[in-house]
Amino acid sequence: MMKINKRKGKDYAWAYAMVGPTILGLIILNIYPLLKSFYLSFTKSNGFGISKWVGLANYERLAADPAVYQATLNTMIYTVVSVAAGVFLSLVVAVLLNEKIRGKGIYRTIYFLPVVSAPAAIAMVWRWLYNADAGLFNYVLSVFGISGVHWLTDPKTALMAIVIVGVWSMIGYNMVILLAGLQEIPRTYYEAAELDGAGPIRKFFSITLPMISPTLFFVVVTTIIGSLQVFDFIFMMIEPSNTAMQYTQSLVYLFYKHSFMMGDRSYGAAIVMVLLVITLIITAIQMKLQKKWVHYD
Amino acid sequence: MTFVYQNGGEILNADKTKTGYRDEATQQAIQYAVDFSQKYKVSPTVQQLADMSREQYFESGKAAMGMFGSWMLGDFRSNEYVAKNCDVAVLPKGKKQATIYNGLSNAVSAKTKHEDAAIKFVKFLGGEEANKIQGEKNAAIPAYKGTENTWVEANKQFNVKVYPEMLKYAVIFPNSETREKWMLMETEVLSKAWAGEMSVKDACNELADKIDALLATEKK
Repeated sequence: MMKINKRKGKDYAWAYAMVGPTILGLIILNIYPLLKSFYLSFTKSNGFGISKWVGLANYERLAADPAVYQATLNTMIYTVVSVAAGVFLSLVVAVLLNEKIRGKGIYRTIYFLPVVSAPAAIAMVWRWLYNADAGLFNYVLSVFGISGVHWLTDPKTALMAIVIVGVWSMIGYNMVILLAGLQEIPRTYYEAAELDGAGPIRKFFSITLPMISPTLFFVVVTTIIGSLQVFDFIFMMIEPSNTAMQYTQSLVYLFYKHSFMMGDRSYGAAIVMVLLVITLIITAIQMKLQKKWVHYD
Repeated sequence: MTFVYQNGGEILNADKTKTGYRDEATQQAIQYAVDFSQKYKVSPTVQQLADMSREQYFESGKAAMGMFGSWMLGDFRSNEYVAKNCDVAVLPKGKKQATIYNGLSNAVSAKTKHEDAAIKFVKFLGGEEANKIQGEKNAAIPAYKGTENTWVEANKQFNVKVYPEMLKYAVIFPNSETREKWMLMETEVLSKAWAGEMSVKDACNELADKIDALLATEKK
């Protein structure tokens, strides 16, 4: 009996040593900043880092700030549209590239390329594509007689322009994960279905979709969290002087603006707390809902 | 901003307690600037400028003139079109001549362990010799009187001697403790006037309310 316990203790020590670096990283990079931000959101800071406790003042200001509501709405629209379009397209691409087609290695590489490109560089190229006077999109549209779409400066199109870039750059990553899920599905299921006379559509909905649902669930959850944090494309493509900014800025952008452009880190921290709560609620809802559509066996 | 001071207006009053955005002269000057793109259509609109910067308009030969700080000279020199076709001149004048200038400064941390050495170094940086080096190496226009020639010499291909000449009637960049906060408000609110979504008067008054509220929080 003693011997087994000793042995067990040794195993635990090893286990802790293995996860140690990750836990340490989490504490330094995630948990500590989280607690610090939470604390900051109850203080008022000046430029030299001296802060004093102000209770809920930042949250009261936040509740009365129309920019916060607009940014929340922008973030939600961005997330809903980009997740729906992005996950759907990723799945379509993954299923197509899982077939036996010529040059699928090349196609997979092409779809994955946006993932390895720096977001800042991507944003600069898209910015040029969207340029109202000299951009490629408006040039192509002008051939069809449509002219002068102000992609990034018209409040009606700016957010969608950002969504398109977001979707384009997420497809590759999601595709790879979904491909891995697709390859786990045993061929025998399809063969059996074929013997029973099932067509490709029927096979997709009755075999592929249920079998891939755990992977798909993972993709949906991570994509939603990622989309809620959209910042880089907005920062790179929309200038502060752009009048479409208030209809485009996300919560993270608003956080950045207050924390680093205006030097009010306390208010910025309060904004980011709102985002944290939204993310937690959405993820909790998904965890509940997954029982309805995710099949683990 | 230059137009505002050329028109006898101001952005911030002398004791930094009130902004000048409510002044007639200030609003008039901003209207004048807005009219270039809104009324006379001779300047790119704020929407166009969101797609392409002022520098890009100028460097591609699409804009004939622009007001740029002396720090832009490095970029312009390396641009083939500008180097070949453009030069620097004294700013056009409004009711009176004016331009904006600002200084660079060095500071020492209050918690430093090497106070004497740091202060000595800062003194050197403010002295004649360091300013000469700054001018020769083309870092910025040296602030030490008499050393600006080293900078003019280092930028021969453009007629840059006009920059120090304009100092005679230059106004220092309006600054205050909460400047970084209200600078962004200026951009956001005034761009609505620039886009024609709001009248200049309304935008300026809205801005004045916001800035005054911030100025009131400053410790005087």
